[in-house]
Amino acid sequence: MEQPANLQTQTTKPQPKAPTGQLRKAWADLWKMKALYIMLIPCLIWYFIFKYLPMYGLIISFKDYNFSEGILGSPWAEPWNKHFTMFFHSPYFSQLMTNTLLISLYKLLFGMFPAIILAVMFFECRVSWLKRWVQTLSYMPHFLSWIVIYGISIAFLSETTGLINRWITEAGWNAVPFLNSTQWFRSILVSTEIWKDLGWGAIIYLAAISGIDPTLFEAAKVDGASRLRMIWHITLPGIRNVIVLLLILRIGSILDAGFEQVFVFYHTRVYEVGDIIDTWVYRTGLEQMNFSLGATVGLFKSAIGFVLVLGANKLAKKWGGSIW
Amino acid sequence: MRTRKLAVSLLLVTLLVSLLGGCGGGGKSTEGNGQEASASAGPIKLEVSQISWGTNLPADDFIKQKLDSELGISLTQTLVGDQADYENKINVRAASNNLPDLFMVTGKPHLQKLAESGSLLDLTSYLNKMPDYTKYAGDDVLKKGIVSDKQYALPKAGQSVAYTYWIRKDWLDNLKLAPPATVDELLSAAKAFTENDPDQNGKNDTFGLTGNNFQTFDPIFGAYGVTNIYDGSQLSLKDGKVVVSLYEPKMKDALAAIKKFVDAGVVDPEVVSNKGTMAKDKAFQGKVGIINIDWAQMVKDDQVAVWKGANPKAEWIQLAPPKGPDGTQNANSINIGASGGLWAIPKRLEKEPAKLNKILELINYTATPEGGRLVQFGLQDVHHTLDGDQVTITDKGKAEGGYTWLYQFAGRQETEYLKTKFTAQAKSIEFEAGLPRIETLDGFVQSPQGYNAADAGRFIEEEMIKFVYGKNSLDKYDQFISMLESTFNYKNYVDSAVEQLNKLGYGK
Repeated sequence: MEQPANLQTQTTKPQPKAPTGQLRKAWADLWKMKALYIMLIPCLIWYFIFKYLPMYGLIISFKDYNFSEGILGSPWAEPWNKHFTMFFHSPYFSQLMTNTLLISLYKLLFGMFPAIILAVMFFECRVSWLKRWVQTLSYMPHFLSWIVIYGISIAFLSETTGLINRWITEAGWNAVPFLNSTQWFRSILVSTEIWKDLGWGAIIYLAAISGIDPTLFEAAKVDGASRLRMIWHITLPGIRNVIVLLLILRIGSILDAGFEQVFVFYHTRVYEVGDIIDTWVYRTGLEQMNFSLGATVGLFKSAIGFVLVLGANKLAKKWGGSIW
Repeated sequence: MRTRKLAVSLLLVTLLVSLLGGCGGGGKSTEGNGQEASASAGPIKLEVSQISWGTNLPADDFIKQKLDSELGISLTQTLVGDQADYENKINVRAASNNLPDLFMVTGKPHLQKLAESGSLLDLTSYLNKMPDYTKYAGDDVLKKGIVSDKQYALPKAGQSVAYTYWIRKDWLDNLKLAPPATVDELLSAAKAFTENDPDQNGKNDTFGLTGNNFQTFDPIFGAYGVTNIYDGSQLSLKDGKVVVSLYEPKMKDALAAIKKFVDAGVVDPEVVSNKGTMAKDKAFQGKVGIINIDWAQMVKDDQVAVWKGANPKAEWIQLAPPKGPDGTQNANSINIGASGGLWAIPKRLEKEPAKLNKILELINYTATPEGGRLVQFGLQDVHHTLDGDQVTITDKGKAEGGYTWLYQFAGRQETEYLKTKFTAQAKSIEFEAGLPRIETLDGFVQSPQGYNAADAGRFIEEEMIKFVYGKNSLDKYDQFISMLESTFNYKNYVDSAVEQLNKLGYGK
């Protein structure tokens, strides 16, 4: 849409002379597309209010924030990086980073491939009522809160009252501390997350698959390709861009390992493997009203995320799948 | 392209200007409201805010009506259901300089923060206007509201003293055991509950002891004369000196005793991860036979219905805390520095003396015998009858009196109040109130700069679990202490805590 418009301007008016002319030109362009811009306005307002204005509050990470004096009135932190050092020098810093990255990476890896496989299976399923039902059921858990899922996990996995452990003990084995031991904790986090979001994640891949030109499949069929061949050579390459896009976006939030979930599931015995940056911030920053520390860690996480997204995009560019 | 961007940014600027205009206008209008309210004649409007824990004011609020007419005020309460929401709300209102005229502060750290931010009125010089309240509360209670030598909050008097071990009497009878009186007997009873099928259902599906984390073992710590490991129960007085429970030589013995319970496999394996009512649920369902809990969660009528419903033969009785090797016994410690509630008044009321006086009058009134009876038991001859000093609650009082605690600004004499209100449970209440307990002083202490209570708390708890679960040998206890002091700045905290307590007159 932009390309032809630009071409046109260049051919008709090769050298815009005065800035006033430029401005008029811009206004004319704007006017021509007014319907589109009007539709854009609510979105811009939303971004401005909820994403850009709050950034001004980030300065409290360099201040000793105190709410009666407000954001501007609070004194500057002395030294300026006080809250950063408090975070970096916490005895738990390296453990927090490891836990956050590991949990996040596991979720990324083990969450993504099953969703793609499920989407392909939905696409290949020829019994439409079955497909509809399974799809609906598979994304239902997405709407459950973590509290509910924790309750379900207790009912099944609890060492003393859980259903699965009852079967295990009745079969003569020892009960397994699924929710209670450092060995199991991360696996439980990852698997409950997958259970919750698998169907939901598959929807976007399914939409991408549906967008593939059907003539490709027809041509392949005529050439005698099997269904597996078609999946491998048409479906998967067809959604490659979407996969890369989602991967890049998720890498940007790699330091968010899922506060809500971990907060509900963790307890002292599994802090070692389950305490993540956000839960630490909750205990140290918010519970003790140290809002500056919370903002500091948020800033740190965003900076890392920003660098990672840029890096990932650059890498993806090499394979021709970048998002900009 | 560039010109288009320019146009967009122009648009944004216009938007921004209109937005800012809107904000400014809003701020001004609320200010105007405040002035109006204070200037208007007639009854003085007061706004009180506190956590209601789900209690609602009835449409026919007889206490409000009585207080309004008695004191010439118009009292409204802004209630928030749970603590986190409440704190958020107060913090937001503090930030916009729009605090309620009288509001509850949720704890010492919250109070400290608000006081430091300059939002609160120093009440030291106003205490003499509330003679009944100061007498009712007493010096020890008033100390709880002091931050940096200034009376920033008015604490509620009275502290509920509860919690002890409860045990399944019918299980003891089934196994022909007497109620355990010492730590060793407790262990063998718990062992029998775990291994000898106390519910006689032919299945190995019971445990001895449950609770929430280390709180489960409170009376065992007590048997060795030490207090629990948590922030809030680490400092106490012994022979006139402030002592730190983690430094006590008996601490190791207590941990060794707890380890014996864990090693014997009689403790609910999920004791650390039990959250909310999970431990209680297990006890009520007949999975566990001993639990450290308070009477209110055990013998109030609705609770009895739950465990009788699960098993009609069940019978829970209270145990005196078990005796240690030298005969010491203590139930859960009480943090005498923690208050049942801290009332604070915003600084802006300094300039509205009429309003301020009414608030002081209101608090003082609820501390007088007459006002106290009103906010505890309702209207005389309607909700309660008075015979000399003896208060008897009428049926109407029982039906309608559930919310009156929201007006107990001065607090109440806890045990007497509960016995009057819960006549059927009076014996259990008295039993728990009368048990020996160690008084801890943590509530009076403010954390010094550079001490991260959350990190230290986590470290202490984790290491304790390692000791008790045998992941670390108790011989290494001294290493734990030195790590705590160096890496987590605990020494700094203890030094500062002792100094603060000495200043308040404890341990000097």
